Amino acid sequence: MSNQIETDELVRRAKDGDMAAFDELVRVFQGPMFNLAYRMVNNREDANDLTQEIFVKMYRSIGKFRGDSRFSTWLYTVAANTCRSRLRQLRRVSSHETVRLDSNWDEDTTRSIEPVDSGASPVEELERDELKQCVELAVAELPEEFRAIVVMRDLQGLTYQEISGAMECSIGTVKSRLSRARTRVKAELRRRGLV
Amino acid sequence: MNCEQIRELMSEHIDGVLDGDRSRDLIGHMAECGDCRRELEALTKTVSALRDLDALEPPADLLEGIHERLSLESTFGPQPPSRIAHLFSLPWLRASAAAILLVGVICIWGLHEQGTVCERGDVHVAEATRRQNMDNYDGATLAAEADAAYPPTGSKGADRHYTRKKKEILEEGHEHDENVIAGKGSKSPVSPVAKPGTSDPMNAESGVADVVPGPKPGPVGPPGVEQPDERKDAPRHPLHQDGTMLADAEHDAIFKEASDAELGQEYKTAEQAAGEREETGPAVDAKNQLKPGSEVRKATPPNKTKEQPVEILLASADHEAALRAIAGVLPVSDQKRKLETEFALAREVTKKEAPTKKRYDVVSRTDNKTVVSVSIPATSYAELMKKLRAVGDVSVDQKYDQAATDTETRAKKQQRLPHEAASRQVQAEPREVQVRITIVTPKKK
Repeated sequence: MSNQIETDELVRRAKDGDMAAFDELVRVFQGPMFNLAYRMVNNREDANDLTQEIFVKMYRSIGKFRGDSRFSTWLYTVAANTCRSRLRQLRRVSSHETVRLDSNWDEDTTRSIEPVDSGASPVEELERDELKQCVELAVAELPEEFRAIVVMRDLQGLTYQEISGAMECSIGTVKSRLSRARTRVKAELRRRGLV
Repeated sequence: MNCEQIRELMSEHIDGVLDGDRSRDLIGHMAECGDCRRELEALTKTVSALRDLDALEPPADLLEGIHERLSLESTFGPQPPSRIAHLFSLPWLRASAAAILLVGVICIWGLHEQGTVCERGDVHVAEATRRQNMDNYDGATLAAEADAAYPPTGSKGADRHYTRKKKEILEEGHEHDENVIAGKGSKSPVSPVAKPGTSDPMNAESGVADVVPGPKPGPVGPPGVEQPDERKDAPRHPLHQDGTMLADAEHDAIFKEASDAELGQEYKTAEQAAGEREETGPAVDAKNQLKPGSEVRKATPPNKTKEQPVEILLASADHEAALRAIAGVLPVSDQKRKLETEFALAREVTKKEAPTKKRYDVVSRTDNKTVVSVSIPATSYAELMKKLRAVGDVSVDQKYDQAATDTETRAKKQQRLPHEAASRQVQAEPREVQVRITIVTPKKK
């Protein structure tokens, strides 16, 4: 709750033109926004650019935020719209390059699934790495609307209500898309014998 | 509930948001269906794997990048690619653009098909009708002129065009004079110059060549669509389609039609034009303007150079090549460059557009001397000099030459490092160089 109060205070100050408050808001939300952007474009450089664009849009329009919803939900709405717009542009550039899979897998992804010392056997570590890598690929192959919802729900822990607000769709739609997205990921893992 | 309905509930069940009745149905079904139990187990493992994915650390310089971007947009306005891309994301606009492009391609194809045979004919028709007006040729002489202008070519389309032209000469007489020269009075789409009221590349040039990022100012009409244009009554010269000008005799005959008095009213001297170009606003202090919640405003255009134009003397035997070289460095597409050169003379008698949009002015022209004032991107100065040296002997005041070269160097550096320039609040360099070229051509005997 205290975090929410702090965020509200930062938003109030940022709306009054306080650049320090704006910077602090960026620091608070840069992690979730960058990860959402990364999952949407599957490329660290593009994700960086997209995240910057999200915060520039936040900067431009924070004056219009009325506080009817939580600020995070509003920011996710900005992010979702920015991602949609960027993906449309990318599709125009190359209609066959919506995701970069095996051939171009980002080195950051590889780094992120490096084994950690958890006391598991090397075989278990390998299986876990393989599972993670397959999940990453399966998520990357999801249609963008499904992908955004599964990232918001399973990777970032938003509630159905918050996702509904961010994606500007009904809770029923969120449930339906999430269920289908998870089922697709499961099917991919099953195809590889991982579940 | 059957298995399919139960499986649709599994996702909500895993999240713990399934209401009581349906939750009981699902649990009851699980007790008696092994397949669905395995499905639920696999889905639970999948969701668990999804939630185990590692979060990536955002780049350390993310905030810095945002600041740079805000500074840039504050200085130069929102970046054009995304705005243009947004425009073209609209399906109806894409369709319209495609349609306009298609019409343009058809028109250009038409020009190529028929232009060659007609350009010669248009010149002769113009000459014939002019002589008719001046000397009161009798009908027989006129018919002979028309026949001479349009001998049968064997080409069906060309002959049809010639027949129509001949008929126009004989029937319309005096009414069909300079308009024919301009390719205006005829309905034929074959004149190698753009018709008044259609898309005029000279209007379009300023938008394309704008150095300030942003959409083109003012629409360009689609080919073939009549648009209000005060220049439509002005005569134009027929020019050869390959970009070369008319022979001197032909040109002189046509050029005399425009009175010096008229030219004097329409033309502004280079000094006047330079004075108008200097009327720009102050530079923007980007960072001081930053304030969250306010729309990032468009900055005033960067200051244009206030220096004197670079005076260049070019002695060249090939006048047209010199004109082409000058037009060649203007930042427009290749096709427009070509048209620009072709229309260089036509503009002398037709230009009435706002002086601030001019980038290519023929200030004066005599038999052996043409003075051209041109505003080029600062980064193209070396290219211009190279092109000029290729067509003749160039003399330029070293002081101005060095200043322009320095400007070019700085502009190129700024072009390479826009972020650095913006973040350091570097004063924007002049992005254009004003050049005044005097082309001296040996007199022809």
